[in-house]
Amino acid sequence: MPTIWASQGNCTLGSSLSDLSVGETGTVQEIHLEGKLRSYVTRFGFVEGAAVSVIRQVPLGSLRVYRIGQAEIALRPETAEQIRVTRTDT
Amino acid sequence: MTFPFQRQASCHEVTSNGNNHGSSPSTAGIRTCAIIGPPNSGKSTLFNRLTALRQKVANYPGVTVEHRTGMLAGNTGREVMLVDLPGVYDLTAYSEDERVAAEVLHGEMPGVARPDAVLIVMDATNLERHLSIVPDVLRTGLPVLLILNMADLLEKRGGQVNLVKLAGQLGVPVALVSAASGKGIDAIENFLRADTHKNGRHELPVLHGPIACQRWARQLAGASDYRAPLPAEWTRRLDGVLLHRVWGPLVFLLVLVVLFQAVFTIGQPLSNGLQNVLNNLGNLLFSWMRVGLLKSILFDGVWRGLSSILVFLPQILVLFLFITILEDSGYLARAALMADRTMQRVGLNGKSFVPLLSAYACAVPAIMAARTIENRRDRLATILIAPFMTCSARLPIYTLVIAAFIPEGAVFGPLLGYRGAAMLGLYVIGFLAALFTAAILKSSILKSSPMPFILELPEYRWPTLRSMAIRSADRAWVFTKNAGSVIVIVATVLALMANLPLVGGAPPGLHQSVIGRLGHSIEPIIEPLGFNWRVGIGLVTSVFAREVIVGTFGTLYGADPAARNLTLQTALHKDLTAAGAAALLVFFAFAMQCTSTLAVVKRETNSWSWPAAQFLYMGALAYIGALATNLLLSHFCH
Repeated sequence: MPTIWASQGNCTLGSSLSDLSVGETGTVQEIHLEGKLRSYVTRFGFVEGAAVSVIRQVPLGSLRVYRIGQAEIALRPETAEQIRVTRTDT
Repeated sequence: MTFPFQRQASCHEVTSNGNNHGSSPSTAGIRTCAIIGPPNSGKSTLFNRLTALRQKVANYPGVTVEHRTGMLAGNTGREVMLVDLPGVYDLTAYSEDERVAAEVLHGEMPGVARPDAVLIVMDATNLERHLSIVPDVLRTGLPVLLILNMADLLEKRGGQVNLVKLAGQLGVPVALVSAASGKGIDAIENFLRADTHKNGRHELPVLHGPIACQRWARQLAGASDYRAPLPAEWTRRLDGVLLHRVWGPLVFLLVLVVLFQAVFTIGQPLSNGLQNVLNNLGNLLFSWMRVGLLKSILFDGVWRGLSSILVFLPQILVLFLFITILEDSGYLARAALMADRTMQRVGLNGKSFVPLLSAYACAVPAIMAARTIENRRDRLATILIAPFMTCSARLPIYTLVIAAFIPEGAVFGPLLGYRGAAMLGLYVIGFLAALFTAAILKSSILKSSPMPFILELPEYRWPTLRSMAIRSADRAWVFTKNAGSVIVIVATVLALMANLPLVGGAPPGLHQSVIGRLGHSIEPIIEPLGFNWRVGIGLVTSVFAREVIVGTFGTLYGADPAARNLTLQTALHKDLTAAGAAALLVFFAFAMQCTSTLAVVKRETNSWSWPAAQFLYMGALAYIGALATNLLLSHFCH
């Protein structure tokens, strides 16, 4: 069931993990990856309903470190873009 | 590499009647026990703790995954063999490591006996995620002990778990331990030494796929009153500095500088000391022998050759020790993050950084470390470029030629002299050749769709002395054994060839000897590079291992009456032009002269064509590079 996520402007439902800024927290809604890639991110805890927060930006590049559960995981923006989240107010 | 997916669905095959995992009691006691668990769960620390030094490393037949086995330490009754499986999150056969782990547990690995029991090790501070491996293992029907490691961290940071409830839900015994401190280890030993084992019968739900497994794991943790510990405050604070926008890269640079500087400021004096010891020992050992053919083979050839290699042991140990500290402390993962951009530019990712850094010590363990790269093409590219990194076997010839041709003197105050600058230059051209080659490979034959780069950051930890000692001793032994056996053979053959054919019962002049004639016959090929026949012989012998060339020079100049009383540096300085010497350095920076590396590349890629291509490519680059260096320098310097 393909879901089209509008990425324009103020539609909060449409944010991806890469849209969150450092310090913000979100809840994973959907993962736009298939097959092997999907189970690969799943084993790091990226499952629907999981809370993810952005810990920091890694220097010398575009990686960011996220906290999910007890783990700190680094992702490139192109992977983070595939993970749709809703912002959680803190 | 194809990944068989037949066990993809294993998680939901855990049946709800419980018979599958409750029906195979071990009555004769445990003889073989596998240890399984996710990466960074402290599995290896636990293995080292349980086996002490009674362990050995081997490869599974037909695949490239290494496994360690060891006997349970302490001597009470039955021998128990422990098999350390690769670090995996589950048994879905996504990577080769997972496939191997699954095959061993199912008793399908040829030549490896099916274990009688399994220890599942997981990080107690990360229970919600790590529990997802449990259903896959229970399904094998083997008796299981679930080990929640890092008990000290869980407690210190205010986490808790109800072991009785967890054990009750799973129907298997659970132990809370700290492998680093040894707390709770006796529970594991009791499990291994008990005479009967039987997993309790318990209802497990039907689970479909990895997402359901994750959800089940979280629910199970919740039902066991699991309270996750507070975030690792020290790790946060340290990362605030070590991954800081400004300080992060500076510390990274500093770590690299200290790493290489330590090899020289700590390793060099130790090497010099060892050299003296070996010289005196040699004189003592061979003093009783009469001067003659046998003595020149054993003493001048084998002993001198062997000691010219062994003196590099301290430098190699220092390098390995530093890399072990960086790895065990958790810093290497941060360095990999900061290196990701550079690696990405040539089509790789940060995961390639760790093998490439270890390649500065030696390409052989580096190529094996490339196993952590899931993407086959990225892994292959990393294997193919790793030998360009300046390994410790290049240090002997670099040090010798630089000391012979480059005067001491400061370029940049006391920090960097001419000699240091030359050495740095050689490191840089090796690194650039690696990047250049990676860029070519990743934009042509090894092009791949980008895999998501995901790296879990381990918590910072103090590296334990125990693990550092075990790993250093292991490396030292491997180096001595490999280099030693090669040099003994090469030196014996060389010394024989330099002393034959006998002319009227006496050894011939060096030019007329077998080796002299061989050298002269290859001279035309290498003359354009500024090399003479002696260098030519060195190039031939160093195909076995780079450091052999220094031993070869020792043997050759030692056999020459005109050079016998000179130091190796002076003899070399008289024998080569400056341009030829520079060309020799460039040649060694690029050429693939290491049979151990070729053998490990063959093993890891399961084909002779990759090491053959690598040998030819690096050889061509070395020849062209040396030719250009010699021509340019001869042109401009005269």
